[in-house]
Formats: sequence, structure tokens, C-alpha cells
Amino acid sequence: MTLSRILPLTLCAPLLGSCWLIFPSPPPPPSSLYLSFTVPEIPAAARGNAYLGLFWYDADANATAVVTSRLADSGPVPLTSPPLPPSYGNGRELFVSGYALQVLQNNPKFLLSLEGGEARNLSATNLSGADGVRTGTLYPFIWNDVNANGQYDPLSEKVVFDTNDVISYANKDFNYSFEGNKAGTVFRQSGNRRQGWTHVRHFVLSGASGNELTWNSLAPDSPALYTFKMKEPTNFASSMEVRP
Amino acid sequence: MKSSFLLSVLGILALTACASTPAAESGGNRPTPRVTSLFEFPQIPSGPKVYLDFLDSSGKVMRHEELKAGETSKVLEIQNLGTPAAADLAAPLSFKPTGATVVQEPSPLSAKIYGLAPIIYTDKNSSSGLDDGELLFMTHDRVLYATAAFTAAYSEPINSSTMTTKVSAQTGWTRLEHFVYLPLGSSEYKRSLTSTQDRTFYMHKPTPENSM
Repeated sequence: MTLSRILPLTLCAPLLGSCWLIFPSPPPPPSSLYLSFTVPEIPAAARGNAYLGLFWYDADANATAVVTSRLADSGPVPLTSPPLPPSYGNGRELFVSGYALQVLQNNPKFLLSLEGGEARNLSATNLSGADGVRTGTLYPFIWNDVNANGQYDPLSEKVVFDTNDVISYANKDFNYSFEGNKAGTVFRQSGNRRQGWTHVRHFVLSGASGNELTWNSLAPDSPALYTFKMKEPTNFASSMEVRP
Repeated sequence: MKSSFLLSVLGILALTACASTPAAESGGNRPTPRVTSLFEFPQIPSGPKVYLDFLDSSGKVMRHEELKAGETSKVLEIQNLGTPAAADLAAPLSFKPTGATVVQEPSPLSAKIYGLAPIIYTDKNSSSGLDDGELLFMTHDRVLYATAAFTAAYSEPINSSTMTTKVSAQTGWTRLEHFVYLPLGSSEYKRSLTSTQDRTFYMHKPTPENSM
């Protein structure tokens, strides 16, 4: 009698291990981004009004903020929930939730072809490797919020610091190249991108053979991943060129 | 009695199985950052032998590694280079070019350094050393040994403008990162040489110092 009661339970034991039969577990949340920034000394004119933000631009060049944070004049910046992991403490940080990223990557105004997005207004010629590619780019910068409304008003407010590194979403892995012209500065651009959200590192080589730009996704195990060195605004195509 | 014991054991097993479901990591599925030094470069061409050398300021080769055709990176741990000979150590700004002006004296003045320039060359004449026309890839980053953390700054004329370099080094062997830019509307290049946690060296075709 005892055996007859235990036997069915014993047979069920392997099933109990697969507990999804009893308690289906929710799908894992989409990956969030923790970004940290090295910021030069904030100029006196912007102290108290400096904001750090992550922005994207639509095809009409309208800037939309994804996340912003007022910069304390020095030291760590208190942020809203969720709290930052303890390893982030003495820099300037931004958090973007995976859900917010998911909404963005599904927004057709955000995700554009290379011609209509990243390479627009650059007189791109000989574009290759971009067939079927859709990317969306997030640009970090710090601005002087003169009117103290917590928003970036491009007509009246200046970018104090930025970086030419970006956060990019790509619909697939790809390598691309094109020749461009940025307000009279001729350059050749190439790069590789991995599918998904990545930190894309900007690198410009200038010298006798002209300006060569690369924008590559950092390796997932790069110690520099999601850390950004802010600087004064520069011409991304030639800031390191040799001037006669 | 026996059956109720077994029932409770099975119950515990079931609960344990559920508890072991991995919790989602905060910050996403980011792998642990790499902790080794890494040299990245464009694909090594086939043909004459290609070497990655660490050159010191006197031209002495501290490290000599052959690279194979097709390779695009090499793990070479700079923190295993050992303590430099006392005779090789120099003052913190010993590397500044002649004609440069010290803007900020090294602090502390007692710090000593030994710097190495990583270069990649194609040994066309099989001399096992760098000769004219053989340099393939380089970096303005340095492999730096410092006896103490220090800061310093100097300024130098570059063509018709100026470049100011701020140095901030940590103790021991580090990657001294070269970062340079020309702010919009300015004629003064801003350059920093900073010890970084990241020990990835991006080797590229030769460029002047006011380029990356």
C-alpha cells in the first residue's frame, strides 16, 4: 500500500525539477544600460546649471532626451531609482532601463537606414555594406541649462561637453564604409557594428593621407565599455588633423 | 509515516529546483571585463616577418614578439614586465620634446618613470630590428612604469598653434592613454596622457602626435 502511494510520486519527481510546469517563470527583462562619464571641470558659467543627457535625433534633427541628470559641481550625482550598483560611485552616471531601450528600438522614427540616419547631411558617396541596415543612435552630452527648465533648448543653450562615442542599436551585424564631407572637411569613414545595443567607439586618424574615421562596436568584455570621456565639442571628422 | 517523510523530501526537492532559477543580473548580460593587456591592430600582412617591439627612449628593445600573418590582436601582459633597472629610470617629464615649456612641475618631483613605445614593423631586410621604411603600426599610448603616482603638464608649439599636454600617471606598469582634440573655434590642441584601468592598445598606421 505504501509503495503504491509512493511510486507515482517517484515517477513525478523529474517533473518537479522542471518547475516551469508548476510556476512558469517570466521572460528575462531586457538588458539595461549603466553609463559612466568622465567630465572635465565644469566652467564657472555653467556651474549649478549643467545637465548630462542622452539624446536621439529624428530625421528632421529634432532632439529627444532619453534620460537627463543634473550634474553636481563635483563628486557623485544622486540619481533616481533604480539605485546604481555600488561599483559606480565617484563618476557621473546615467541609467537607461531595458524597457525604455526596447520601446526605442521599435520606434520607426528612431531606427533609420544609414543613408537616412547616421550618414545624412554628410554628402556620403560610395556607401557600401549598409544594405538592409537599420540603426539608431544615442548621443551623450552636457549642456548649460541657462533657463533652468531641465530641458535642452538648442536655440538658446550651448553644449558644454560631448563625446564622439555613441550608443547604437543595430538590427544586424555589419561592416560599412563611405566617403563623406562635413562642412568642407573631406573624410573616409568605416566601421563595424554588432546587432543589438553597443557602445560605439570613435577614432579619427589624421595626417598625410587625410582624415580617416572609424566607429566600431566595443568588444563585450572591453574594460572601456560604457565609460565615456567627455571633452569640449570638436569637429568629429578632423579634430585631430594636422593644421598647416 | 515513511510515506509522509518521502513526500516532504520530494516537496523540498521541488522547491529547491524552483529556487535555483538564475536571477536576472542587474545591468544586463554583460560579460566580466577582460583583465589582461591586449594589443589590437589591422590584419598582419603575409610576406617578411612582422614583429611587435617595446622600445624605450634610448632605442633599447624591452620586448620582441613575432606576429603571424592574419593576426589582429595579441595578449601581452604589461604588468608582468618586472621592475625596470634603476639606471633606466628617468625624471617624470624626461620625455617632453625639446622646445616644450613646463606648465606644471611634476608633483611629486621624486617620481621616476620608464616608458616604452609599442611598435609593429615588417622586417623587410631581416635585421630583426626596426629600420627606415619598416614601421607598420604604432600608437601614441605608452607602456609606462612609474615609481609613484604623479601629475605634470607641459606645452609645445605645433605648426602655427600650441598643444598642451596634461600627464596623470599611476604607480607601477599602466597603459598611459594618449587623448588629443582641438576644440571648435580654438587653435590650442588639448592632450592628456592618463593611466587607465583599460589596458587595450589600439595600434594604427603612423600619425603625428596631434592625431590619435
